[in-house]
Amino acid sequence: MNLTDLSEVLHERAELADSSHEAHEARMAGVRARVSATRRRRAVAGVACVVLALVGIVHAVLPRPEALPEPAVPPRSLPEYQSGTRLLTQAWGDLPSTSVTVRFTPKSLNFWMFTQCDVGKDRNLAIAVTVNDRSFADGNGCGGGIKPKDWSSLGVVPGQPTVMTMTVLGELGRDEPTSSKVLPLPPSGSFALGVGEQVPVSEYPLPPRPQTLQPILPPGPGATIELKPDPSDPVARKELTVEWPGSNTMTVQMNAPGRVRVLVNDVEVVDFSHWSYASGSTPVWSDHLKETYGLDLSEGQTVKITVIPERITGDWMVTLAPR
Amino acid sequence: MVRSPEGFEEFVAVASPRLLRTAFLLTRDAGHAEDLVQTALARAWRAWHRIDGDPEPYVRRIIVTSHATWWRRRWRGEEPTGELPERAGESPQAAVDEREWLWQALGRLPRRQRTVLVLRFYEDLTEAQVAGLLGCSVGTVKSQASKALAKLRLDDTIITFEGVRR
Repeated sequence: MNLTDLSEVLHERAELADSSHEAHEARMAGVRARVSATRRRRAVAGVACVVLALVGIVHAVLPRPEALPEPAVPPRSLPEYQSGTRLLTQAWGDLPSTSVTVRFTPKSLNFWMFTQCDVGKDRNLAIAVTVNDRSFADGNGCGGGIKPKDWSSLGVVPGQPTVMTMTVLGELGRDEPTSSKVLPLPPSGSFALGVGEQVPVSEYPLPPRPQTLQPILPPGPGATIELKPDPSDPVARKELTVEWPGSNTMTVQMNAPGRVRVLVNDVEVVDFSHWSYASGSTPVWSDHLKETYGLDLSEGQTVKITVIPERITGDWMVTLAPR
Repeated sequence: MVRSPEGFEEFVAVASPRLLRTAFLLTRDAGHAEDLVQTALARAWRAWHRIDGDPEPYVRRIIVTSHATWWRRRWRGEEPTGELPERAGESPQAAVDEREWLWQALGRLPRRQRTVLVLRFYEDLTEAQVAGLLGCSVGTVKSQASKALAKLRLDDTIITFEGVRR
């Protein structure tokens, strides 16, 4: 081995970092997002400086009343960005109080509701949520985010104020995870309700990509249908005509940010957007296809399954396994 | 949409493949390389009107300095080691194995030493140019390169006995 070998190895490996025209578009979108984010940060910093300066001036000019210092309140917040959204509003409560309310005016129906309850490791609260005085959740577990199929059914109208209230009902029974047993509320703890509005992908700050992506889990036992990306073109639309396997669970998995939509006989049944480098999946039960989409499919019937991946940055897989 | 400065997008289209290759050699990961290039381009965007002459060396300098500082804070997966493991025994190896070994060994070098080798033997920069880019002395570049080559078993001894496998 000599220096020529070293130079050749470097040149060989460098060629692996190929760059296509599609990559150029994505790269420019990424650069724009970074520039926009920096401008936003600078604008906020500028405003903060002005506010601080004004506060300083007022503090220096006004006479100071004798007052006790206020106790420090630890800052707490839901994540600014999650699930493709940016936090629009949030409210926090502390036990023994039991409810929080947010009032906001959505620009569109593309927003998510987020909840968080901090009552200790492996403990959770049961919650009820109303949107414009209509019940949205009752007895559900706290945590995570949700976007219903249609907010308008809860009286939400873009451009008009919406009121969302979360009430903590009690602690979820730990010994019976499948039951709906609700225990008395613990003496202390905090809870939060937030709303995040969807932002364009180009403005969403994705986390740094890890060196190694988490593997896609192998299909469950008895999986009859398995759809994977074409390695040479991972965003290519995939179409498959199959005999419907009867009662089954369709699972869409991704291990990096991206979006995968699944159509059954041209009816969209899954629209799964993933925003992190953790492995994520979404299950859809065949019964759900009938209830929600009117797809009454019988075993053995010829069915067309279409998978439409978009802005894929890792692996994806769609499987159908018997229930 | 934020409008890019005049000539910026054309520069990205032309220079990105070259910049990406350098970033890939530094980071050894396609995703990280892309992140690094986009970060450098975003910084260059903000300074675009102040860049005098060819912007590519300027962006390459941002890539190298960003990789050496900011990325060190964000990445947790890479643990450079001062001592490389011994190579396989005396038996001859296929050339492809040698090259794979060399690539893996490059990855185990401390970040600064690897950067010096990439700039010297991939970018073909002189020691003075590397020193200017890294903001250090020529002597430092020489010593970093010498240490790196010694760890890769590519030091003067092995060059003298070229053809003799160790």
